[in-house]
Amino acid sequence: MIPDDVFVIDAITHTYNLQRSNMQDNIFAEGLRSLFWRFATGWQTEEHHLPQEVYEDDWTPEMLVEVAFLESQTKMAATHNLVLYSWFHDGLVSFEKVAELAEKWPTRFFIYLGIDPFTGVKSCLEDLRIQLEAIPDAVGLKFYPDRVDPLGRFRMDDPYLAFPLFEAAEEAGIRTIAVHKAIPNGPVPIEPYSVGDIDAAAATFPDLNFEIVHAGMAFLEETAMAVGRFPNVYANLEITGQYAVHMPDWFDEIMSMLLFWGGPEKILHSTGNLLFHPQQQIDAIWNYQVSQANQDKYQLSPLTEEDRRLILGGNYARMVGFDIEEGRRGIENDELSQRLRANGELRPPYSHWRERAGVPAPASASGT
Amino acid sequence: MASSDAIVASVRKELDAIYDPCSLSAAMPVSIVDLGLVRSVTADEEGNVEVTVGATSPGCVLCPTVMWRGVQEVVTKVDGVRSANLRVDTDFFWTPAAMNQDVRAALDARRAEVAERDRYRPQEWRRVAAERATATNTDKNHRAVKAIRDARVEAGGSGDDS
Repeated sequence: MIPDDVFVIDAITHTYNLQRSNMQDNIFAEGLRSLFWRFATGWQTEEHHLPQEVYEDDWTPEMLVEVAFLESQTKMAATHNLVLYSWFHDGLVSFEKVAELAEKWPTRFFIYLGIDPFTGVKSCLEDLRIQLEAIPDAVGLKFYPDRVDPLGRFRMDDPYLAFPLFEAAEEAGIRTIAVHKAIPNGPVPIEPYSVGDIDAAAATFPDLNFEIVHAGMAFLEETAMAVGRFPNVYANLEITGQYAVHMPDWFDEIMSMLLFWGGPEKILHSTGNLLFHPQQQIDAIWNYQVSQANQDKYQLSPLTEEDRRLILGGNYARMVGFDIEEGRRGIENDELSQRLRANGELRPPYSHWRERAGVPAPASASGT
Repeated sequence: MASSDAIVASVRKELDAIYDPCSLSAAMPVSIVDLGLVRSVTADEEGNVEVTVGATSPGCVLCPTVMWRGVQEVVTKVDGVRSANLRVDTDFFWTPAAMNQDVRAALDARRAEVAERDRYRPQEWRRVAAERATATNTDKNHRAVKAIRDARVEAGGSGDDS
């Protein structure tokens, strides 16, 4: 547990549909779904394990809300509409789910819309217009760098495809563009997942922000240099943050490089919840300190409490122009805060999910 | 028939021609041997070879796919090899310290050269942000890109490459 006044904003949460019936009939969908399962079981302790048939299900908005706000100290979260249509029939996270989160819990979520650049500029602009009609307060757009079956890539520095979309997003009030990098979505070419195409986008659109998602999982130096050079490029720690729990030495290497080039103001806490349970990362980042060896190597100052508050939520709020005090007022008496106060403590990890699926907690579970 | 020592030496030589996929993508090719990813190579008298490799990141999905196939391809072509058993060491924790130190020094020099050429400085964004109040090259870039695209549309294209 961390001090409760830390305003934790989870920079990415997901309501995947991992049911087999949602998978496209190709090796890439199978590869990506199995990657999620291996992350969930190999990178989390046993108390966070669920039966495979329970995990590989259709994750609902309610499940995300329960885990984020009743089982962890997350106060607000960003959530993405995903357009991975060549892997999953509904893109992996449907627009309907994101719209439900926006409608039912408007003070809890920052919404990212999803448009598929492989459909072309005109189609994307129309799709963006329609989505914005439904969710006018959306703060972000989410992109993926490739498609499969057939393979194709999308470059963030494409002046004829990407830039018109960024222009339209900026004009519509979108504050940030998140792009998946560094982790190949299954057995696909890795080149689209490199980060060299971020620079021109960031330089050309200085009033938009760009989040390198999965920062440091690969191309660490290049990512750190991009974060270091551009005021509007941020390192989003989705999945990377689980290293703080699973492989803290490796997390120290990544964080040291990001802190050296970018500083603590450019790093975003991000768990991928429900992919990982968020509280373990919140605790691990709050307790993280740069190793003495890396403090010496990079001439870094020790992380302060203020730095940790920035990483866990302050940076995200600043990036999207959000007032944290307003955020506190927005949630302090909502139904979720009332239930949390009535519970007196966080519920054990995945307790809601287990109750819903009718599976018992593992013997090792002892609460958070 | 080649001795087991000779087979191991030949296999190691061939493995040196396999490049880490991420280093290729970053335009700084480094072989899996120079990265320190080849953990062990053994061969018995019959030419049965076992190669153990690791990944630079525990999340690497290319190690058990692309790299694995590359290793399998070269090992089975080595003279005297009867069979090849390949293993991924999932417990191996890679850091730059595992690299060939000459290669590491060359990479560091290359990065320093690029950083100097492009004037990379740690946390350069702070200076850039402070200067944003004045007219910037990014504004010019933005205008140039729009002009190019507008001209293309005017010439009959859609401005849409997809």
